[in-house]
Amino acid sequence: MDLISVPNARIDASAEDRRLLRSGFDARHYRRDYPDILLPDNELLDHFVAIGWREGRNPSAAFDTMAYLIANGDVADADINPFVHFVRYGRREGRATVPAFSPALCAFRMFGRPVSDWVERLRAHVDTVYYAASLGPAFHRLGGVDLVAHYAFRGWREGFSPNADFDTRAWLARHPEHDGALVNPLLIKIERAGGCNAPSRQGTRPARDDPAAPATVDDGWADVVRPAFSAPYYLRHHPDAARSGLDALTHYLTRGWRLGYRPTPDFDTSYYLAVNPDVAAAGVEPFWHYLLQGWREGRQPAPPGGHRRRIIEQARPPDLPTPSTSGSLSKADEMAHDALATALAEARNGLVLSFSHDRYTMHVGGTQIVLADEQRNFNQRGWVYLHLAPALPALSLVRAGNQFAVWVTLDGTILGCFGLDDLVSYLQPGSGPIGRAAHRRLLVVHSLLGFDPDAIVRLAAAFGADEAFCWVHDYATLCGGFNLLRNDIEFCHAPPPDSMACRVCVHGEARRRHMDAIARVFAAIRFTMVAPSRAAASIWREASPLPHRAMVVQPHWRIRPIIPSKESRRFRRRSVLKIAFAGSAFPSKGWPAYRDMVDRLAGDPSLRFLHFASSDEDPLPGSTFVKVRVTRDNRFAMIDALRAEAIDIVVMLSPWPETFSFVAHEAIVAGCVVLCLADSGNIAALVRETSRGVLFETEEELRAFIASGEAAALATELPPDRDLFAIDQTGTTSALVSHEDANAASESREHASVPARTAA
Amino acid sequence: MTRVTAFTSFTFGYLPRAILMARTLREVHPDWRIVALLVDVRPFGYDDSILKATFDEVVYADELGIPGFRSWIFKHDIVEACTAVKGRMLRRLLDEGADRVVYLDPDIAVFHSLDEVSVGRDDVSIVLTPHQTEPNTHPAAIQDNELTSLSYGIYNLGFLSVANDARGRAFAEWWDEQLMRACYDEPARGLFTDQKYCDLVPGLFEGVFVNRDPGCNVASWNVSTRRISISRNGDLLANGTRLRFFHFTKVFGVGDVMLDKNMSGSLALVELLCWYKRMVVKITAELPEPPAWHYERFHDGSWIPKPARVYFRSRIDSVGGVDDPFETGAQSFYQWLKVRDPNIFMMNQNGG
Repeated sequence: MDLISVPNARIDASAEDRRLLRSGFDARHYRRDYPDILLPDNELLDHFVAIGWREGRNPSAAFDTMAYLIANGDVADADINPFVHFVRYGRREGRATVPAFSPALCAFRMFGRPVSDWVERLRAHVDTVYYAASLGPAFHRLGGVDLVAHYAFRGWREGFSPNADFDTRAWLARHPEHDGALVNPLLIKIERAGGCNAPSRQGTRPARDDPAAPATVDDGWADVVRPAFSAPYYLRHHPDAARSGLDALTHYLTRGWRLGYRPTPDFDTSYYLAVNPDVAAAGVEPFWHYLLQGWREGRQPAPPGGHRRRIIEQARPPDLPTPSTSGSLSKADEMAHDALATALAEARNGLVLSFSHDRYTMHVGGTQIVLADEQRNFNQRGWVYLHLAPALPALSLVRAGNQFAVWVTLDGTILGCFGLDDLVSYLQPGSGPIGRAAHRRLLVVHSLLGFDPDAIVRLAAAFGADEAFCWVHDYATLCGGFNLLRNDIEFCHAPPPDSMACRVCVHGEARRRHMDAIARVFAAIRFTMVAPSRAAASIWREASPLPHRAMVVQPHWRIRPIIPSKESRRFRRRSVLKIAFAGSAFPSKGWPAYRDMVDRLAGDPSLRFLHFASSDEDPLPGSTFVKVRVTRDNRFAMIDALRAEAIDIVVMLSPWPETFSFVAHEAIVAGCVVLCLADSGNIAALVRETSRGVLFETEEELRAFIASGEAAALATELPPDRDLFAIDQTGTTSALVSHEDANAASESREHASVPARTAA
Repeated sequence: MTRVTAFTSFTFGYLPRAILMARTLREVHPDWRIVALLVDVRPFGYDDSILKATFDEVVYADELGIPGFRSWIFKHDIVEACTAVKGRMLRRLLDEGADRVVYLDPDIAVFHSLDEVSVGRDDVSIVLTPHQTEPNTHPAAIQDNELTSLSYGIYNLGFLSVANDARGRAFAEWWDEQLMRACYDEPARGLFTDQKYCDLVPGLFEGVFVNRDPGCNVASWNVSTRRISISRNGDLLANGTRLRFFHFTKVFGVGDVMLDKNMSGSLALVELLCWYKRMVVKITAELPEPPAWHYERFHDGSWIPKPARVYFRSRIDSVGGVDDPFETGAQSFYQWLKVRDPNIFMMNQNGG
């Protein structure tokens, strides 16, 4: 048998099966969902009967083929058409079916546009020889099957991988957020990489790589394209071009454009062909067409809006938690219950009940480190520190009623999961252990995300705090879009929830419910609001209608100017300007803007780009990854890393007004110049305060500042003295609470400075 | 208080959009009566509960009392049919006593009040919105916009407002007569459905107000001169003034291309477009699978090619004695045409 699959091969289906399925088969649905099938209408049923079901295709909107096979292993083992089985036997036997979702609809939910022809989209990326081999014995039952279609609709769900470079299972394990989305993971990877922003119309698609294509091109043709072509960009993004032995331009003109490769960051080959079917039909190289004629006619070289448009198109409100995304829940055992009861009974000076969105001892991030410090500070004062996190983490409020459960962490030790009712009974004054210990009780909310607001009200009522604090680490008390980024793209200033801005925002539909839920919490608990910066306090006060006792500003760190020691030396700046992005590759941190910057500027030999983070989530050609892990025991790892690499500039491209930003502090203490956006909240405030950077209205202006050489000039004017500033760690709730407890004498101002170091 | 009735004309395929339009209109004008004109037939067993819950009244085209309805509608493709019935419906709603009737296309979304733009001044009987209110300068934009308007109509009839006075009723009667006679997509003859006729309206009638509010009827044909933005207090704006309604014509298709071509990188417009698509998908998921257009096929299930309709509308010798051109039996128009011009039936639905 030929190992290479044969799309649209002639098929034979039994007359009996055809008769059975005729009334249930929906040819219109089949045609719409599977545009890769080029058979005439009257052969579609035959296709499904003999081949389509093996490829995981659905016969109608009412029957999901794969769901039926997965749920009925005996049918799968018998290797018969599942729809035939259902019609013949399953319906009588009461076997359940589920409706099928169209690929276009699933893709729309994922990408914001209905990518309907998955097979054609994946064809260039599936190595059919590799795939056939990986199928093993199963391959021998797939006569006539299109292997690309098999992977598109079925194989990925069975854990098969399409080529040696993409491990389906591993990718899904790294991206649990796509669990249940019913979209092929390789397709997600391709679309998210921005390989195609074409509208849904089935315009002409780039032809496959044609080995027979000429290796030489007409000089006139190349002369038009050459001035605008970016060889460094092309080779960075397409290593196969470098391996081909051809120069970059020739590769693009003979092969690359047919594969949809971009010749520059600003020209999207696939998009141009899709929206200009006349160009596609003419078979001309699209970039050449655009440079020669297209721009005069107003044809767009790429979807307007650039990478920010992709952010809007991909914007989604946070998903509600499901058990599959949560990991295993470990119910608290008897020992844990005893430990909790004992701790509550034996609390000496006070008891803190704190809330945040995850178990701070298990994750490393700014807020988690603040919590760890807070716990340590209170413990040092003889207080018991009880922390609660949702059992099912989520980036939104939830409604779970009495089913709500929490992870309980006691003085840094995770006890396990407790149900709401159990916890309320422990905390209830008078009826439980806490009633025996009359001491100060503080309630501290670091985050409400993942919590059922009514559960918080119950817990707070049972706890009976003397004082309650609510931190403004983000703006979740104003909107479920807690960065206040409308459609994840632009700072919205938290307009009224019935505004048109909220209507068109992905976070807007739920905002009224979200704010009502938050209002219930604030009506029940009289909080002192704590903002880690004046910038955050200002935004919150302006936008929030919530009642509160007071607003205090308590930064986590303060940067203190120091006099450099005689031993410190200045750096001698090198000829290459080293520019860093520090932090996770999240859109909310400005990662897409950094990607765009690197794409455009990495070809400049006077610039070098580096990414400092704990993991290389999104490898970026043109940017060197430097692993840095900031932990509770190594708070200043980022500062050390920035110093070690002698970074000149740290670009901070957060599009939202950050409430604090450890990275901005680290960058300044490390002696770097910070370039940031004007609307970046405390980042901008810190830059103004220390005069160690520049603010820009747009990322385009920031990028131009670097490209023009002005950034390099500034870095020379502000020499990277590494000993200008020290950090005082000042900001946990403990610092806000008066020192009346027994250990007050031993508790000093929370203070830890970065030791002065000699420059490398 | 002015009693306003709004209506929209569509088939089941456009029901999700029509529902979105009605819901957005209802939020801004809860006191308006909103009527659906369905140029289609409800299939047996189709659950129309959401349709009925959204609109105050649902009228089917075959209930409008158009003489020889089946022969008449056969002459029209889907766009022509949905526009040809507007004049008749307008007259019906005026006869029922509305003080003012407003028409909105089903692919419009309303964001801010239409009172000022639909009612206008007391001496205004008819309100039209032109496709363009500012000249373009780039040749490509002129080609896409102004030159297209010269062929397809100066005013966009996705919006119309008519007062129930003598002038408004005179216009309604005149417009209905034109549409009953020839509501066709034939730009070479100077016809484009219901729309091109209205180029004549400011000349033929008094009390016409050409509304040039940049917040009205914003669409791919004028985004080149209307910048969409979102203000700090959450208002949607077009050129700094409130965006009253946006016309999402042909989105999910060629409309996306035209918006891309003319949007000048406005990210607020992208936000708006993504919102619209999200909502259409969401509403689509709430509804039953849309049936095919009832009038697109002959009785034997074969698709009616456009040339067959054109034949029927223009060949007197073909229509004589034909009560129902959808029939396919002996002596039918179908059989007659198969003999006369069998090549017509080789054409597929995509025009190939």
